Amino acid sequence: MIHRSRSDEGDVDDLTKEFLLESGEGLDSMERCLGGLIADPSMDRIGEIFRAVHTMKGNVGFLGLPRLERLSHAGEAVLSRLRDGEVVITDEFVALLMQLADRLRGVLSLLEQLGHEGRRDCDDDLVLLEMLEQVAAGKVAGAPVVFEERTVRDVAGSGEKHAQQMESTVRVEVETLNRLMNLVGELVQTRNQFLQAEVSEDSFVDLGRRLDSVTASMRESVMQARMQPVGQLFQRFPRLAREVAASCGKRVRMEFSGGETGLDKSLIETLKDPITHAVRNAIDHGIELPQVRFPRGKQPEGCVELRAYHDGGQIVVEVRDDGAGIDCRQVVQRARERKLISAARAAVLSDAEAIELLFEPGFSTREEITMISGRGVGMDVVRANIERIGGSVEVESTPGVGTTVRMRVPLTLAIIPALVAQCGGQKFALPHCALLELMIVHRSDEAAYIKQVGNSRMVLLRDRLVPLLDLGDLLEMPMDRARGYYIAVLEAKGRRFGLVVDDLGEPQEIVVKPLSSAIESMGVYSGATILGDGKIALILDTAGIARRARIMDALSEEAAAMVAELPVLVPKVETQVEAETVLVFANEANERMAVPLDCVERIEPVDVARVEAVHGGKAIQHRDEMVMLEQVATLSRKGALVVICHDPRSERKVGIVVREVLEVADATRMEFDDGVVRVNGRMAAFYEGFCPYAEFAMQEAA
Amino acid sequence: MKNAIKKVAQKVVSLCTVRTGGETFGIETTSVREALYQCELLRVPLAPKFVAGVVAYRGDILLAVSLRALLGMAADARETNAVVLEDAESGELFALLTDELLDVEQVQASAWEPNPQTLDQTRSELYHGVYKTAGVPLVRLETSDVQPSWLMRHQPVMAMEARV
Repeated sequence: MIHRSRSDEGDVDDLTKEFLLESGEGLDSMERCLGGLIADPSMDRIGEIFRAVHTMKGNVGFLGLPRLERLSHAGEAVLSRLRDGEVVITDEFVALLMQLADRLRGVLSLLEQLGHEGRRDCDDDLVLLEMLEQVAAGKVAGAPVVFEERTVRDVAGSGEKHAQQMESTVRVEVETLNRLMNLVGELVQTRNQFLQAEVSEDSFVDLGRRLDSVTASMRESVMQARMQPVGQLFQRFPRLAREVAASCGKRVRMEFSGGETGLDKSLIETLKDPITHAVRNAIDHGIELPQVRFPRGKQPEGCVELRAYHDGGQIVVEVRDDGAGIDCRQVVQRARERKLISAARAAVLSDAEAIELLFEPGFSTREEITMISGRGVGMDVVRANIERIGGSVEVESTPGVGTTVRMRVPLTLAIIPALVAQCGGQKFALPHCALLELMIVHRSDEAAYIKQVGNSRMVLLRDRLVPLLDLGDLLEMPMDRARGYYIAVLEAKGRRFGLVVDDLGEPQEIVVKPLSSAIESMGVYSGATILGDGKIALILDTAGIARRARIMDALSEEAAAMVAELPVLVPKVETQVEAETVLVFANEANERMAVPLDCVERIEPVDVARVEAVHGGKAIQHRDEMVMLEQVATLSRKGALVVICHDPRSERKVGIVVREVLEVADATRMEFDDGVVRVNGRMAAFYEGFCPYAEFAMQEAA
Repeated sequence: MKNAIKKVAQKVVSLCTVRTGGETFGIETTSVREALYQCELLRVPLAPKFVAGVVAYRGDILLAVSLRALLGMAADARETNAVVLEDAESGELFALLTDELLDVEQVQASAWEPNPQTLDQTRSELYHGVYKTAGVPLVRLETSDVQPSWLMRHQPVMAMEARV
């Protein structure tokens, strides 16, 4: 189903416009498939390439476009041989098909601009046709890799043209459109009832309510129609990557994941430029030349990966390359040369701070200005663009391994797949991204699966004990467990746990609506949605729940010990084995807890006014960095004491809200329990995730 | 000169009146977006005390502030009628739940008097003076005193209570 806004170009008729759009999309998918053809020559891929050319051939004959017809015919002949497995897929062969796609696209753009295929009788066409025919006849394997002389401006130009085409049209699923049509029908019906009703009638209020619900549903459907898979945007990049790589003499392959993630159309448009920039940077600055890559043990072909996924109520788009990474010293030096920072400051910069310099206006590490980068329009513009829509950008880099540019955009409009769970008569949505599996527990076989350890319950899941968390207990709600219950096994922050609920419903796509910050800051809900029956359901923040669960585990020592023995994912902490200096503090219940001193950066009294709600949790600002707070003690009106540490679980900084800091001293390990140490004769338990011995605990358990 | 004084004295305030726990409150009509009768309230477990739940309003989900909770009264099933107000600080809309929505009343600005000295702590922080009327006294409420962003800061103990 294609919708389109009225175009003022009079010289291209509707049929041709439809053809242009369809063919453009066909070529997009052809280029995307060609990109990975050598690595994965599956029939799906080949079939898709074949279909793109075949469909075009079918259409051009009908529209009377001889130049396109000749090209697509020759292309189809080659592709049918490919489909039959009679062609060896080589770089040359792929290059030939790429040339074909380029040529077809070129003619399409002429057709769009001029209304005809161009009269220039090209010899190049004949050369290309001849090559295609030779391959089709089985004479040669393909053409030598020759890229046409093109300036980057051309590439950008053609991209823009195509982008304009996409901006004015939206592909909408027929189902969405049908739903919208139904709602319009209902709206008309309600209006008619209104016209007939007397203002004094009792039904007037009901009618008003009905109108309200119809309009709200309509709004939702229209919003849904605006949601586009981010993969649409991704499709534009293989071509750009190829052109940029060719002009730098590099070899690059693109990979995609999460293309089906839905994003509002306006957000997609905003992301276009930042991603373009990041991809160019990745190839121009990140990926090394093939001759440099080879001795480093990397494949000569570099890889740029575009990823999209949901995370904590946001959409994350990553541009990741496996190139040289960012040389922080070089960045600092360059910043000095450009007089962006003082010598004194340059001397004390950390790596993370050095990477921040990339976002300074006017920063460039390139000596010479190439066609692609180095014009001084840089990451600062990317950041500004993303921040304008309420998002954020971060760069992560490991020298020699690669760089990741991570863009987070809000998801106020996003639609996510979720499972509706019921607990205490109320419905809650569980986002699919955190869901691993589902279990039903009947009262009769409860004993076989559910184990009680201290006051914690665990479920036996394929010989592995997974801690259980009862949503009813957590939310202090009445439960209905007469016949049995369900367990949704979730994973959050590398921790696996089972959430016990009364009942589970159908999986469905839900529109995420933001909640007041007063609720989101609780860290239990990440949003809300309106279900099909018009009722509201709260969306559970699985990471937040896991955080709560951790506190519960700590309450029961036996359970904590048992959990520590489970082969769960505990990140390695690089510290010396025996003597560990620790900082001991007290939690709300005055229990002694500890973190390795190496992790501690600062202890700071924090005023409540400084605490801000971010990412569904609480955070403070510390030296221009966001520090998320985790509480083992309450934040009272007077303020609180916060221990700011490097979190070994996530490599980020985290602020632990404590009741009191007790001492700093050397710790001795206790036998049988790695989570507890002796400090000055008294015991202290490591704060969850900060135990430097966790690595050993895992090995011993294994 | 005399005329001017007379004019000021005659200035009329339009108030949207509501009732909760037997007391009558007035909120300036200009700050009320809409009145919602018997809205379907969804409870939010573990939420701060002043949060009665959330309500659906024109495709958005609004936080519902319980006036009863702010007054330190027990919850009541009657508290389902709300006025939609705007939180000036965060820009979000929210619903203020009351027992009963009454009417729109015009009162003389000159009928206003500051809070009585004898008022308890909770009420003296919430009330913005009282209008003397022929019937019951009409308590003036200001949006800024009941909006969520203010309540989150002003009542941190109340907000945290549910968390621990």
